[in-house]
Amino acid sequence: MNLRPAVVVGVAWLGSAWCAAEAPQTAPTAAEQLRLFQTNRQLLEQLLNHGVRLSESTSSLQRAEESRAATMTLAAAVQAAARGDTPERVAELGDHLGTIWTVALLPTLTQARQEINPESPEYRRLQHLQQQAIIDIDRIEEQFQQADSLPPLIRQQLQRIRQQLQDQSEPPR
Amino acid sequence: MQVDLSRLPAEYRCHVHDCPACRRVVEQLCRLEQLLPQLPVPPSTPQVKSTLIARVIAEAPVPSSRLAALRRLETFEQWLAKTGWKFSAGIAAALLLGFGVWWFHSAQPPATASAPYHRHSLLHAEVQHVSALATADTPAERLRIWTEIVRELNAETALVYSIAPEAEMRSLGQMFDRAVHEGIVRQTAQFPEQFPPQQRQQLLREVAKQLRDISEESERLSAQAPPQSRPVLLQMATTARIGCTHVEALQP
Repeated sequence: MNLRPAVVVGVAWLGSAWCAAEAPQTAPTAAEQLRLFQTNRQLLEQLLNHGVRLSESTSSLQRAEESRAATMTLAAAVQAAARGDTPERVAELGDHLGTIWTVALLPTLTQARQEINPESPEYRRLQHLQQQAIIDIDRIEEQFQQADSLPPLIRQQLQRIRQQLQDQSEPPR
Repeated sequence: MQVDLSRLPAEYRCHVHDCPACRRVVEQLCRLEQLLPQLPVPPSTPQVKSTLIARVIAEAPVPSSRLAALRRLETFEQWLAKTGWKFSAGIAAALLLGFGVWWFHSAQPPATASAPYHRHSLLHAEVQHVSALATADTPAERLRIWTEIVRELNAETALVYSIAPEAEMRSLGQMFDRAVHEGIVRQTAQFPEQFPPQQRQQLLREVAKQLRDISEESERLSAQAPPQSRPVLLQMATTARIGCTHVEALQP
């Protein structure tokens, strides 16, 4: 039996299928990487400033205050993105905002609460900071509701963080 | 060989079941039926086909549509015999290739909505590092984080230096400079006296090695960089070398 036609057809088929399977996965090119850097340059510089100040902080309260400042920086970036960028960009920055809130702000607030004596003047600063953080969340939600552009995942995350902040604000028993 | 008696007409079935001679004949017939498809098909010629069709038409009246179909079949067979299998296989391969190309292009999203969205890896890394700095309790932890930041900034520079405008290169250079001086160098100065000397030495050695590598890499890139990127790369090499010298001097 002559198999040559089947072999020719089979090879052609496999070749075209391979082309189709290979193409879509791409890493960002140098131009794309540069565009990303240009888009995020200011944000990166601001985050570096927060990093330097966090390194210089000598108390958990100072670190919590600086963490809150970092959340404000990212919140401003999320809001700017929601006004004009793609949903993917809003989601990306929203994720980063969630990271700063949950990995930086909440733990430092918890630590500060454990370390600071409720009778001390720092405790008032801490309470003020917690209230401010809750107001920040309310403000972000409100602005997004006006634009009707808050992704559901970020909304859920904000609600969870607000709940944690409110739980922390309860006076110690 | 197992004979399937159910295929036999009912009136013979009982007899074949009891008669060994007839049973043998049925077995041979079954075997022949099985082997027949394995025989090679003798090559047909257009003449054989024409003769067969003429006999069919002569034996019984054939509807005109069927007749046309039979003639078309005859024409295609003649054409196939004339052109040969290579040509036919070539056409089939071309059709499949065409389908493959169409499939490949239809798999790509349309150009307008299409460009895949890439998240910025440096931004992601910096968010993680800033978050980690918020909860890092010791200079050693902070030193590790700042070394990572320096490395990330250097990696980003290596990705874009060949096409980046001067302003972007300068921004990267300034961030790198701050990360080395206000991050690494400052943290090494804050090491407490009671920090275990062995751990301290190992950590400082790792940091010094990273900075040395970065310095060498930046210098290597500067040799092939476009003019607007060269000064920043050279500055990065110098900054990393200064940082490395500082860290090495702290080792006992």
